[in-house]
Amino acid sequence: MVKALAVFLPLLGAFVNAWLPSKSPRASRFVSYVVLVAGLLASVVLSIRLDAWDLKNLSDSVILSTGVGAPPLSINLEITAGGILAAVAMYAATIFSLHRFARTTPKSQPLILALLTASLGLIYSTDIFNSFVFLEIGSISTIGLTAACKCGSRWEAAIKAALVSGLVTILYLLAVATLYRSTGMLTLEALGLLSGGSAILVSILLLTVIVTEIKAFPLAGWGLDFYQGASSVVAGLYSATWSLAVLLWAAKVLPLLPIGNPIIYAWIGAAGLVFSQLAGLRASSSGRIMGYSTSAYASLLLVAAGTTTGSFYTQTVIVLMVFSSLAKFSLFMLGNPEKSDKWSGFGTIIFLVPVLLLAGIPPLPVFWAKFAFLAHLASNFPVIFYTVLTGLMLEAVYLFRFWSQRSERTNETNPYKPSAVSAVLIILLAGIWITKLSWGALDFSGAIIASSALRNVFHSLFAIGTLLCLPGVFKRIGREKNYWFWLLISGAALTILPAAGNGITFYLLWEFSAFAAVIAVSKGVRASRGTFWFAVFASLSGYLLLAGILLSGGSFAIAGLPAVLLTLAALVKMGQFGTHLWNVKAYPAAPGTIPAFLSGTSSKASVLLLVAVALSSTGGSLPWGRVIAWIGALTALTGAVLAAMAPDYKKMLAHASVSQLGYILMGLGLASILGWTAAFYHTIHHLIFKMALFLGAAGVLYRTGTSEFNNLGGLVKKMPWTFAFTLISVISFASIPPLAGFGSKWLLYNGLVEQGWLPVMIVGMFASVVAFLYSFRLLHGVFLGQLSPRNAHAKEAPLPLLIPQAILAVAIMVLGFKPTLLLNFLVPAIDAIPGLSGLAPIIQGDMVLTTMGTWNAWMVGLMVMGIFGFAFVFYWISGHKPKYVGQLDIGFAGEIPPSADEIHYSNNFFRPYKRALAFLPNINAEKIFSGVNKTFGMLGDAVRALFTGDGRTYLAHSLLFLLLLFVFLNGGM
Amino acid sequence: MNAQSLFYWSLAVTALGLVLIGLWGVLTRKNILRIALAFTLADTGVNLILVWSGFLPGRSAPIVDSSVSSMVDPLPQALVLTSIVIGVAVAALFVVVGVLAARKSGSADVRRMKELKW
Repeated sequence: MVKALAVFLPLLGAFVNAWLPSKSPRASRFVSYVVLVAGLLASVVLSIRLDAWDLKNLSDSVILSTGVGAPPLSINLEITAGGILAAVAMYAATIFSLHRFARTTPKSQPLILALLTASLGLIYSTDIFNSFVFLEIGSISTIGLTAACKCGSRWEAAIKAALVSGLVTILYLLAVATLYRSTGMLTLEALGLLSGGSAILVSILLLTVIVTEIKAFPLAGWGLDFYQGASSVVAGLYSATWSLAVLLWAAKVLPLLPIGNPIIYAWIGAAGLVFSQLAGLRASSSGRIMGYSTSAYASLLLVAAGTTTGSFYTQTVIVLMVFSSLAKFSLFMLGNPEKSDKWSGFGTIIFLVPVLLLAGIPPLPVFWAKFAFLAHLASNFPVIFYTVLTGLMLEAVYLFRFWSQRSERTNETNPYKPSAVSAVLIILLAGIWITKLSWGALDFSGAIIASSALRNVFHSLFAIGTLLCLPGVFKRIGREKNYWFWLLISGAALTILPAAGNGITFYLLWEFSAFAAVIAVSKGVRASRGTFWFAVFASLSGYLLLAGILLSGGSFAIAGLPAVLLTLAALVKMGQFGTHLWNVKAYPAAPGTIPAFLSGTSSKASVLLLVAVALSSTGGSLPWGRVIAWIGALTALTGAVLAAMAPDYKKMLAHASVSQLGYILMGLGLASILGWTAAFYHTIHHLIFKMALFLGAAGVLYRTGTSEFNNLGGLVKKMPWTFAFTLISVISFASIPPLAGFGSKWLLYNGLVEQGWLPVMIVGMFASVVAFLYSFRLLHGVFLGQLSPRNAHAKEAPLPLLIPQAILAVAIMVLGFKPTLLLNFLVPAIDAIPGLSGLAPIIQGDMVLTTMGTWNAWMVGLMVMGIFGFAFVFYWISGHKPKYVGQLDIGFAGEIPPSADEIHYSNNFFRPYKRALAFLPNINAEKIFSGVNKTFGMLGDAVRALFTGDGRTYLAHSLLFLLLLFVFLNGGM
Repeated sequence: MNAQSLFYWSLAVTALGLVLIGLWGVLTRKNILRIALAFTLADTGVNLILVWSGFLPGRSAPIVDSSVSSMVDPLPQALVLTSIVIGVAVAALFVVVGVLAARKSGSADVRRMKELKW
């Protein structure tokens, strides 16, 4: 009884609705709600009976006989556990979307219910002719619904769907006739009985039908047009019911096709994934972007059908397809894409959750399935694995661009559409549930970094860094939104990160932290570009990390290629070697204390990753340590030059941050005890001073509302404390002796000399010299010189920002005068790592001894303070009187400035150096990446030229595909 | 070749011919109504093939009374009925959508209906 209710209630509702007088929309809506809720309840009961919710035995089933007796006298529907889960999602989506239809097209109720009936029938059907009937009902209701809902291009969308469905009908019936002719049976299992010519014929016919229906590349053209043209409510309902049903039906039929080697599916899928996602990069309409994403999931289905079997296959397919469909549903329900909707606050999140889900970011449900699936591919089908990963990366790029563009638009409509919000809630709950189911895969024993001392360094760095960013979170300016929650989440994930014991745990926490930070950045004012670049590079580094982890079998026992991939992941995350584009875009866009968190704290996750790679590959040495060190040195130099030229306070700090991380790479690349000590020392030091600087910048921005040097200057009298703390940090990172920075350079250069890496050292030293330039500019441009009139009312930064800076400044002093406090702890821990070369520095009291020399920080500090004090007293008694001049009162050596900005002293501050360097080719990261972007765009254009928009082209594609399959299979068999 | 098997094979050839003509028409015609006609042709051909798949030379129609001893397979004929009914529905919907789309674009030329592309 329950079975029949779960399947046939919508059909009943459709009939009743069709007979109701058309003037009573309320009655028909009432009928729809009753049958849908009852059907949903029946499905839920059935799913519990089938024990579907633990996702283990999704192929378990019950049979629903529709006639008298057993087949062939009656047609049976097989209700599988996986199918019933999909049915629950379909019912829920239909219920959520009903009120939207009620408003726009009240008479569409019978069509909606017919669509649901067809979807349910198709996923339960076991008979090939029965499936045909449901396929036709589905197409008819889709075309009808599309045509009924008012939207600009509905007729065109409907006619294309109709054209394709016409062709599919013909091909499908040919397959049915052949099957019946050869076997005398019409069940799906009968497909396995075929042999010889009829097997090939049926296979190519059905495969063409399936690839067309699920909209996998290259037969996706009509689907793209359909999604673009149909009204968003129809497209939403369609993707949550019919599209999902077709995918699951295809998943059922594909393994049964007598095609010989199913690996051909995987190749069609993997190649199609890359091509369609290339074309997707060029899509601009929201509906079309969803279409490309659908195509991506269809391709994934083909790959899964070709490479996996049994319950793993069912599980992968159900989780991937059900949740991606729900995600698309909620994106469509969020509004008509072409009418710009505004998303603010939680609206952005409601929008972001489905995007993150489609991109497979943890802990959303699709992540778990994708991870397991990709792990399977990585260990069994490496080439397909790389291809699929490339396609998924491309998909992530356009999804994030879509998100950033959509959240940028401003308008009136309400983002809290109940339909979308409910679907997002379901996704989140399912995410928690599946996370709970998969919890056993996680391991928090900290095994990837065996040394508990080093682990504790990272634990405390992350925890302290996050805590210091927290007090300032409520000091937001202008239209910056609340971000404390995401800062906390990101920081918490980071804090746990060092405890990760296996690959999946590390990846989970890494991505969790990265994307919580992405959300936090998105809370800034006009942050969408910055957020986009951050998200793209975060997912690039995430995919590299994933590839590395999966290729090494899900663990961290890494060598060879996986180690290189993981190293690259860390480098991208650090913004090294040209990938600094994201740092430079995201830090200035991020709100409040987030830049401090990203640059000071979160960047240390990549140091952790490098350390983990080095420890687990070959005892402390990174792959190509020398190359890494060179990358670090060159980035240190270029980053410093770019920082010196930056016109903006936060942008300068972003470049400087990338540059400083280069020193850590030099240390780690050395693979010697001294190098690692220097690297750890600098990691800690960088966290301290960079957070102080960025918190100072947050204070300046909070009080003045600007971070451009052109509008700053002379703030020393208004913000003396901020100035003092910034000064301390600057002195420290300029490596002037009494403060902490000197130690890290001393250790590093000692290590470089010890190993004889003199060229690296020279570049590093030169970078330090350039660092003087930007540190001077930073102090001068913001705090010294004359006060800009617009900042006349600026006050000292608020205490929640000042107090953390004070703590950090004290830490710099302590570390500067007594570095042995830290070294006493670090050196033994690093000395204990087997495989590091060189000798450990010896610590005696305040003295640090290496083979190259000694360093007594306490003595040096006292001496420098003495000299400084002497100079200060001398200056004071000499009675030197400065001459005060206005900000615009500077000589211009005979040049005629074109605008008032040009004569501001902060403008183009280091012009002489820029001119001196003018002989260098003008290569910058932005140009390179826009070149990359253009190249991909051209490829995408070439691919999407296939989709001409002429409905007949799509039919020709299908027939051509059929012929190619025929040639290929005949040649291959 | 006796008359029965001649009929048998000519049925197959006609059916296949109809399908091919239909597909050719679908791909080459520009007028949306002609495309609808071409689909109907192909559909008819496919239905004939379905009937053919259950056809056994030398047997009578599956109308059961006492005189019938050997008949052709009845199932495909039942299927064909369903398929014809569905075909009518699809054709009707196709024509309706086609006419309305043509009104919208001002011409029945399917090449004009490519606002949505790439």
